[in-house]
Amino acid sequence: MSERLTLPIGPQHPLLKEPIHFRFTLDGETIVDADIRMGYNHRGIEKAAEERTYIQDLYMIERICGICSHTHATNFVQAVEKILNVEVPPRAKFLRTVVGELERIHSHLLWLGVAGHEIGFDTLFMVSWRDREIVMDLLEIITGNRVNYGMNTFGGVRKDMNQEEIDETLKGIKILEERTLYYEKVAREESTFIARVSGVGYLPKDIAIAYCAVGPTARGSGVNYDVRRDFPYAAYDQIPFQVITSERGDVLGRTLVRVGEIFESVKIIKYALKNLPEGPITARVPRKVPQGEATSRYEAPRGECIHYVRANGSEKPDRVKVRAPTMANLMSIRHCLLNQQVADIPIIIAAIDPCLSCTDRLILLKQAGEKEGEILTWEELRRRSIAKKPL
Amino acid sequence: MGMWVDVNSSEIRNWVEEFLKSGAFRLLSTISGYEEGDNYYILYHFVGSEGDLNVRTSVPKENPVLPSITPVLPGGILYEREIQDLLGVKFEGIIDGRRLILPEHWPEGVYPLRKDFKPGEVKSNE
Repeated sequence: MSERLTLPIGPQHPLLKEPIHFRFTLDGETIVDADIRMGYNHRGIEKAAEERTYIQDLYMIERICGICSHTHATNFVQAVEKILNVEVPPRAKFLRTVVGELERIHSHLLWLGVAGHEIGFDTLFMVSWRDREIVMDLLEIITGNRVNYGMNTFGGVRKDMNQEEIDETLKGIKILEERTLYYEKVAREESTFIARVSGVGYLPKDIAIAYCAVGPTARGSGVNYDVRRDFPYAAYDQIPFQVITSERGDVLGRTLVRVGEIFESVKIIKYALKNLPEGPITARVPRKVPQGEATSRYEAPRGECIHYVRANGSEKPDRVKVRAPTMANLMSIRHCLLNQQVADIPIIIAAIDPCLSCTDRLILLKQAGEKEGEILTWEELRRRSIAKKPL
Repeated sequence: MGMWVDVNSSEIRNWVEEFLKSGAFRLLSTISGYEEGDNYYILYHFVGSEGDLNVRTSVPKENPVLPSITPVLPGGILYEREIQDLLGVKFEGIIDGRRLILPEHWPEGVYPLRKDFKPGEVKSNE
């Protein structure tokens, strides 16, 4: 029997920009076991949410993730709106949908670039990130921000869209639709791309279900579940769209699902903007949140995201639980990695589109042996950031 | 909104096993926990072909132990490990009960999501 080697990667490592630790057991070049350790990015958001008011929480929860910020904010307001028993006006529901789908396009284009980069196809990385600028600009036109849009409030949205903004958005997504045709062509026809990702990171459908995978990771293995269709929120019950699945189960399947979803997002945005209902964008909301509890689900770009909010009648929530899609998808990733080659580790991990700032949220830590923490003034922080010499 | 069901904590594994067999599509979205009065409450948030289902069970604070569902549903592993780390509720029979989130030198018996925990008061056990 050949000797086995343990290969630790991370928490700081070349695969991802965010910290997570992987421990691979190798037999030659083949992975025979994989283990995960996380927590390096925990910021204590669930605990912090219990110590802040609902409106403060909304701003903090929006900042859980820089990409899925609208996801978390919408999910949190939806849960609180359920407890408040508030009906959101139709126009606000449509506007939430539009921003949510632009966010999906932004996230999927970002993923496509990262996937291209991980397999050495850097041209794909450059062109897809160039096109991502279009959707970032649209989000800035609509909400005022490229990330952390601040669009949501309890009972509706904070900003309306005028005709000029609608026209700009329709113009922008038309360009994106044309560019996506090219990406689809790459995913379906480019022989080097297909050779590099087909059969890689195989996840059978039964394992995907047993390990509770969600989003494009699950749909790429033929699991036909999409929160937008199965538990419609915002305006998804009034907008026609298709749920994209693939039976392939490999990285190529996940790519085809994501590219297909960009087309569906474009369709949803077009439909929503052409059928935008007239009327107010916020409902009147009681000042006090009564006792109660609610869950809210949202189809984030990476899959189902769920929030559970428990209210005790005070101005602060009793408990806020956030489960981001990456947490769900990390459980099946071990199966994707088994019997694969070391060289395929980056693309297999990238294929679930991991987002650790969503997944890891908890505690502020001081390392053992570290001196007393120091609190810096803004001026001192700024001085240090521009200091030329090491301190 | 959705269905809410109460299950005795000693029955939870059997209940989940039966539930998984009872329909075509079953997904455990997450497990969450909170404390109230003398108990910790654990909520299993499921999705099925019929809709969503939240299953609640409780364990007393003096002995917060309940059966793990991971032998029948391996997809619950990270959620149970997260609760073990943060709320200090133990899952008996968990297929992998190591720490997931807290670092190795975090002191035993300190659980950040409990209400009596205040941020900033933890000392490393090294």
